[in-house]
Amino acid sequence: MDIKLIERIEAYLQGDMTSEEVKTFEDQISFDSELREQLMLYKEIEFSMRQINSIQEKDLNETLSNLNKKYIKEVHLEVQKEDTEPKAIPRDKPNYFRLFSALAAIFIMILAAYFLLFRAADPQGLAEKYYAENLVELSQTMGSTEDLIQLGIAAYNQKDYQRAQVYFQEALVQDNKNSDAIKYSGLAYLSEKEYDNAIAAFQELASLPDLFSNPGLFYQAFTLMMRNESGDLERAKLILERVVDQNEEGSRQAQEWLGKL
Amino acid sequence: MQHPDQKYIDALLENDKVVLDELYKRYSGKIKWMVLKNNGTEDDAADIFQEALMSIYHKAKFSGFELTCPFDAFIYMVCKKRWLNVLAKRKNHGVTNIEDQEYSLGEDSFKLAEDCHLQDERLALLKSKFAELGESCQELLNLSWGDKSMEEVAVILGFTYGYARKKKSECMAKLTKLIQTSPIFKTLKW
Repeated sequence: MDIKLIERIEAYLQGDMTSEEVKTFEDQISFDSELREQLMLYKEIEFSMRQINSIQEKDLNETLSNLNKKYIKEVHLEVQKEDTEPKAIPRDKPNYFRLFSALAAIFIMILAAYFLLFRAADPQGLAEKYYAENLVELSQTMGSTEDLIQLGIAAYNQKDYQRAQVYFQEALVQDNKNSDAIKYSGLAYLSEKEYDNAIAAFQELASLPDLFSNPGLFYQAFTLMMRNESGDLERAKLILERVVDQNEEGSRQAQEWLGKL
Repeated sequence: MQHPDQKYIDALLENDKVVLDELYKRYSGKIKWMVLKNNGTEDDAADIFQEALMSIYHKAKFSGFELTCPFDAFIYMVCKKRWLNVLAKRKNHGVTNIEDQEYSLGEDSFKLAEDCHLQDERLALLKSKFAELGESCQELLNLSWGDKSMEEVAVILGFTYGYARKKKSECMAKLTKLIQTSPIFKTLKW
């Protein structure tokens, strides 16, 4: 593109042409495909480079980077954090520290005894017990069309949750409404402690209509109990109540937990 | 006809963190496993997913974007194509083909994914040719593409306004020439 043409395009785009010049230029664009292409190229360069430099794009990139850490690199980061964070070992103030530690330990023991004897059961403990009794090993499904699911379950039972997830996701790509694949994918996420992903999978499972038996809601509550962050217990209880009211799969266990929580 | 998942495109345009969180929750898992399964790492998956979303954002911002198929099928196609390109560049002969999936996509949807891919390639060419310009051109163009007027750019660089405009035209002429003489220029459908 020569400079004269560039100058004309810039004058046109910046409104520096007289109305007569604009008309001439636009007439020329309408029949001169080469000029039209040059104009498009110029516009795309200007637009793209302005975008790259824009605050809006930088903000979006930052949002996506944060979501990447939350959803794609979550487990990785937690491991790194555990490995790299120095453990605080007080050395300079042994007497005060020991005294404080002893008092804290006694206080914790009293508190623990109180909770054990008089207060509600620990939701995480209940969930972990349920997991250990029911979900460490999954039963193989029947049917030759479910090969991917079977392979996934086999990997899951070998505690190779990442490989299991590959099979379940593959099955979902083939049929994104495959309830078994969604359920097992959620359980594999749960086993990897990727609770957000597990909850998303169980929500999707719960939303599937026309299933004879749907454990989606029950597993959502169960995952919240496992995660046990602020507000999770309240949410779990509400969901467990729905499971009981609607007589969904897991309602007996839900009722038992509700009695203890 | 516009698909209900158009909300994800709008969320990218508006940087709507709530809807983007939902997008990640629903779709990032499948992309992660597709990449992990095909010789990639979690970091690769994160890069691929983010780049694909940025590419969709660019397309929507520049020329509008009407989604005509479910977002999951579309984002899978865009990411798959990007990942195959990465593998090809790494000369990873172990994997040259990711098994095709059974998404039902209309012709329009293939075109949308292809448009995104072309837009990416054009942007890559643009960046690489921009890097070939001299420092003074890069500085002037960068300033002009920032949030400053050409009058302000002229003051910063110690030029008169007229000279700054003329210099920008010269730099743009060089840049367009570098782009147009690239062997891949014609394949990118500008």
